[in-house]
Amino acid sequence: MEYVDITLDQEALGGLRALQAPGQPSLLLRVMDLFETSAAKLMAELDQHLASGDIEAITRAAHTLKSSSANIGATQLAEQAKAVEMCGRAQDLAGCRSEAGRLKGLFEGTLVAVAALRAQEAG
Amino acid sequence: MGLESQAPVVLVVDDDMAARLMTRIALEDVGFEVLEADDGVPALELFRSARVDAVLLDVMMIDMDGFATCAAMRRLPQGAHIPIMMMTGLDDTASINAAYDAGATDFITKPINYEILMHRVRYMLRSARNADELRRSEARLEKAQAMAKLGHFNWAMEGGEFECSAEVERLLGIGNGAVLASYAPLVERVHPDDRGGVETQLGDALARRGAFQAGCRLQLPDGATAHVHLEAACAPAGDGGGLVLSGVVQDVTERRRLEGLAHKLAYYDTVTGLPNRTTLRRDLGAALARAAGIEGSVVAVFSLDIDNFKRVNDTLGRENGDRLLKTVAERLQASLRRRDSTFGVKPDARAGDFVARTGGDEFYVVLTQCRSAEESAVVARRMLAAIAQPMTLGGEDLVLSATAGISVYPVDGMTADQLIERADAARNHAKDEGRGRYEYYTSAINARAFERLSMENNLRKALQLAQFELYFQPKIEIATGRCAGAEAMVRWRHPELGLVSPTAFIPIAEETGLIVPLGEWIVSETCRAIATWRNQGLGDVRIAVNISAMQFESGNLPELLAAALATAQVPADLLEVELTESLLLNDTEQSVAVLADLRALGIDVWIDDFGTGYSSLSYLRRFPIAGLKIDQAFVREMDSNASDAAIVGAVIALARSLNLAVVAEGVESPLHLGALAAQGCDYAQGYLYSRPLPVGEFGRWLSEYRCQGALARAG
Repeated sequence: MEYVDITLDQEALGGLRALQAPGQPSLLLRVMDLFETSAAKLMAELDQHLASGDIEAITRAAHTLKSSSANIGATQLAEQAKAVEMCGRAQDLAGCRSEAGRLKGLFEGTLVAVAALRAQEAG
Repeated sequence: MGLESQAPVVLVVDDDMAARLMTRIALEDVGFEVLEADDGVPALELFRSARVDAVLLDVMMIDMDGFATCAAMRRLPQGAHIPIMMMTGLDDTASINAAYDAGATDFITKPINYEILMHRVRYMLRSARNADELRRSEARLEKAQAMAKLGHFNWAMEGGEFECSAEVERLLGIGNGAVLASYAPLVERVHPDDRGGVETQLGDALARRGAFQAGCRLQLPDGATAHVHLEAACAPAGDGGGLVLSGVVQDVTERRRLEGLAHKLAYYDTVTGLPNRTTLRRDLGAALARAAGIEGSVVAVFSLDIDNFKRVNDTLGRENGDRLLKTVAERLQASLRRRDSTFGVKPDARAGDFVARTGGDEFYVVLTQCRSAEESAVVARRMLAAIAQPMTLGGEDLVLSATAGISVYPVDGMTADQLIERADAARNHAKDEGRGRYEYYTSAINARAFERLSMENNLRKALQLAQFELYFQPKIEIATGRCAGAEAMVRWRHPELGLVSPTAFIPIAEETGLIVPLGEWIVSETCRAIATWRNQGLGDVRIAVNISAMQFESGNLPELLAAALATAQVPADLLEVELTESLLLNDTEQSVAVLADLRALGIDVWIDDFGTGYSSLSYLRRFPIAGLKIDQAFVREMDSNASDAAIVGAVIALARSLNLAVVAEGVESPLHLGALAAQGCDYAQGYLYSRPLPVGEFGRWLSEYRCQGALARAG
């Protein structure tokens, strides 16, 4: 599977690490888990809405994906989700489809980066 | 409930679970409590049911977006003032504007910097708390102002509107939101008597850009009058604008009423409304101070209580006991007032007299301006008699008795406390001696009071027992030597006491009111005597009768005289009236009316004892008077005392200048007569001619005197 090489934003990760309470389970890992679950769900929904042409739903899903990925420092994925959201707001379904085509690789790359981070955290 | 005591609750609404988690952790980390919702609908549910101090709201959600949720929260009663922060995209200005339009307090951009987030949430909560405090303190201020009936107003003087609070609107009777152009309607509401002063002060304050305060009355729209305290100041507006007149108006009507009530509670007995001990001491002290300034003043203090009151009170119960005390208070006061009418003294002349209650069944009575210590016994007896009148309380017929002790200023004491204490001592002594009586502190006064009492009792019987006799002393016209008539004088012949001097019994007759029937008897006997002499062929004899103050002020003197004349069938011009000058000074309006009536009847009025009292010469011109009678004290001493001679001369000269006739009384020697004749005196009366004579003797004297005169003229 083709994926784009992704680096998570260290500043965002620093913000997450700063919230870590001593002696508690790793917040970073929990957030990453939550991201993986919700982002996978959003990607699936987005595919579905792109197929059916529901532009409102496309826009909403893209927006949420943008927020979620920005939250964990997946800046490139967030940027691309935002491009889809903007086309959605402009009622440009073709634009949405074209921009969403690039989402897949970025999402896969982000998952790899998250996996690497998890391994780093565990180790 | 202080927010400090409980952790602030923040409701986080976001459909991104990871974002919620991180927000929760960030907020819990600094001590907030967090509630979560993943969409607008469950968020509103939580918002309604739980305590929420702040809301963090994501814009983009599936079922109900952040704007709609925010607007819905704002519409809830608890949502009006809760801070709501919306989480928006960094460069999404459209969302930021929409957030504010929906009622958001603040916004924060995504991705969220959690460090900054918690500061922003804290700041937002603190602002909200301050705003809340401010709202509450404004509400408190408004409530406090309403309670204090305090209103405020502002008027920008350069053509600005007159703004005022609800209380001022109430006082001015203007509706909500009514716009006034100036403070003029406020000034117009001021009572006309106070308006001038307020206008002056206000004008002055405006002119010198100063402040003023005034107490004044406002006429309220409903016609009532309010007492207000008005304070205003004229100063430049804070924002650098023109001059502003701002002020407060406080309605102090109720406070005044309460102050009045407090005063009444402090100085008056609540059961009877009579002065209490504080007031007794104060007013008695004032009466003593007045008495100290008048030579010979006597003030009497009664200490009075109900015999066996405790037993009566226990039997009747407290409510009836109070009614009993009220009845006693009323009877005591009525007895005081009767003193006025009995003595023929106008009520205001006895203004210092009062009844007080100092507790329990203890009453005090203060009598000022007594003529003598014994005189107060008349009032004491009347009061004890009044209390002894039967009364019905709680279906029971009761007959009470009371005991009184009397102290007298100045003999028994000079201060209020001394007199009260000695009156108490006298009362206790009277109780020991048997109840239902009164006693003076000084036993000598007791003896005199007893003497007076027996005199009074004898006097009461004297009329029925026909112990009064009428004597007549002739009045001679000096120029012709003819008898011009006589003065009627009353004598009291008591079987044991013998002939009692009028100076001894007339004051008692006046004080007890016996003077009224006695005066009537004198008038009718005089008329009968005149008729008798006419029937005996002695012709018309003019007789002067002395009229007491009480008869003169009774209001029916002219009718009384007319009736007596008619009964005896005697022409009115044969009757004359002698009045003392002090009597004419009392009540000039009424006096003029009585004198005019007497003149209309044809009855001449003479001023008796002229020169002995306080003389106001103006009344001599004002009143229709026939002439003056010079007191015998001056005449008798004429030849030995130069000043008396001068007074007699002056009175004669005065009378002549006013076209008044003059009678000299007490003419005892030819020397007197010569001097009086030389000065132009018209008439003489005295032992030179005859002592006062009974009716029959006077008739004989008159016929003899006329014979002598005829012989003298013939010779």
